[in-house]
Amino acid sequence: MKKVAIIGTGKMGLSHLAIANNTPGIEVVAICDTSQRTSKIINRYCQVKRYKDYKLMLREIKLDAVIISTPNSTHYSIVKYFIGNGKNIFVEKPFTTDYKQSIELTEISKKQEVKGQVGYVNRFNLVFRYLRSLIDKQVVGEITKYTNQMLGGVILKENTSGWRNSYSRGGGCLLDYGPHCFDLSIYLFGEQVRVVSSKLKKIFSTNVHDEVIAEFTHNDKIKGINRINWSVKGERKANNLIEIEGTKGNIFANKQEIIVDLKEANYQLNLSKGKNQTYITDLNTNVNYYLRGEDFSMQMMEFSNLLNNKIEESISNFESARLTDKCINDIIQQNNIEI
Amino acid sequence: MLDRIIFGDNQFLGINHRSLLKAKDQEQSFDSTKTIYNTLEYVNDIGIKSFMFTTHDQFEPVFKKIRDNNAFKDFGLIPCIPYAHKYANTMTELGIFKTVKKFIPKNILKSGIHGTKSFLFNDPIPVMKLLIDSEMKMLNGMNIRALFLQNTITDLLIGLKMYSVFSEFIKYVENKYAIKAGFITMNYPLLNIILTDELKIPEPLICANVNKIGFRMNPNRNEVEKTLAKRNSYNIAMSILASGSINPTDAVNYLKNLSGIDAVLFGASKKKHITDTYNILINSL
Repeated sequence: MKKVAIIGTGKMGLSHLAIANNTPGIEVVAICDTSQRTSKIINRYCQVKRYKDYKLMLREIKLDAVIISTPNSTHYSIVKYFIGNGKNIFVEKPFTTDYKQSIELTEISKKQEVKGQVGYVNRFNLVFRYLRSLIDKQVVGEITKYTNQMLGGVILKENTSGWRNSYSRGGGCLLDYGPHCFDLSIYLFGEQVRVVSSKLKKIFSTNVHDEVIAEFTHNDKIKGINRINWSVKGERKANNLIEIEGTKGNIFANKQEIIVDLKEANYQLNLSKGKNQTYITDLNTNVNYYLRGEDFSMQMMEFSNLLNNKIEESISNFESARLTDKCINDIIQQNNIEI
Repeated sequence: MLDRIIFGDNQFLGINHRSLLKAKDQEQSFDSTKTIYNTLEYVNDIGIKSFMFTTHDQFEPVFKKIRDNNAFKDFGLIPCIPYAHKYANTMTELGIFKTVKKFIPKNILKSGIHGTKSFLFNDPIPVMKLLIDSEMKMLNGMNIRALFLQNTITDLLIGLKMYSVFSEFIKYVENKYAIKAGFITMNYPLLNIILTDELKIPEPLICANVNKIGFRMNPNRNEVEKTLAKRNSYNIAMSILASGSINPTDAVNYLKNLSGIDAVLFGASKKKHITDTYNILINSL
């Protein structure tokens, strides 16, 4: 059983704690937060030690790993501290807020032989995993084009305040939705990624942008349009819509379903000519404990497997996460955004 | 106890766990009070006398019409609180404490009836009670059969090991409102053990996915079936059609052969589907 501490008990921290408490192979032994209000309540129910200072925590208790879900701007210094102490790390997305820091952390983690995972939960979505396997099998031949849209209804009227209206606090749809969207494109279409061009638009926010359109290429072959917009009415939950064009057909996918439209039947994969639909209900959704989707439980199971040497690398490791930070950085530069 | 057949609300809210494209279609077809009301009127007419729903604002005008129509006098409501997107999202966005501030009437906080701020922040139970009261107030004068806790909260409490909140929830709802209290969960075997073994609650009310294809029956279908067969809880099967993945005949044939199903919750948007499923259920269960 690997001993783990959760640093940051806000929204994601609580969710990770609940899931980690029910994930085989790991045991949460401590929680750490500068604010003691939530951790006081947790402490009454869960048998964990609680700390305000993660450095003190590490001096006092034996840990195998930490789960970091603190504000984005603190990721760099906390991750660096634990890498320095040889502890394995799960850190919420984005990896850091500056891709140069992400490169540095990736390099020192290799030197220190520290294992890392970043919270890109889309990589554990069953439908996206199935989609990736179809892409690997070249089910639509060579991919020529894709669009990856992430749409949500977060900012639907003029917004002049709060963290969402501030780039320095991680706001704007570029910093909030962007990481998830770009990471998914990198996961599906390849790590040789380049931002060709990008455009930002304000809709309701005064200081940040509500829409981003970014053109990517992967391996200089696949052209992709990534469109993010958090001001779309009628979107109950943020959703990723993916459309792929290939030489042998097209694919449409979202978190729950895939439609593979083929020019010719693929007998090997048992797919017929025309439209083939697969839903999440057709896939194995079993998890030990369910809180907010199978993907979150599977993400934590992966971290447990990583700590217990059942896998060598996470599918969402530091190396891949830093590429997303680079894409965001390029878009910031291309559009002269001051953060 | 509760009716054997209960009508659900996912189709009204644009929720379809199988297809987002279908969910969008449904959301558009139920975009007004009138369309939702008409469907419930039909449901009531054919003899389904219970409606289980999340406490979404959209239902308020619908319930007003129901209250005013005598044909609904034996039609019962089973609210599920909190509406995930009203509170849970606020909770995730603002944190627990700001959520409390947002939803709890200021005068209650000021009145000091439920203690000081620090008392609130050290104990989630008074917060829970205030939230129940504020939700129940919106349903004043309606025929309420039971009150359920949504799976987002039930399952979070399981994960955080806050088990005593479950018994406090039951105690408060049963004593103050004289109705049964239940729990929706995606972790049925886990919750069953907590309620029956750890908390020693006699026949707790649990609503969980039970369907032929094992969709969201965690940790797996076999474990869920084994726990149902213990018959130590009152079990409502939901997602029996797995959002349209299973045809009603197959779905009900599967349930028929299971031990431990006390009631069934189902939803559908078209009149024909509602009648077909209802007829199959009533003839088989």
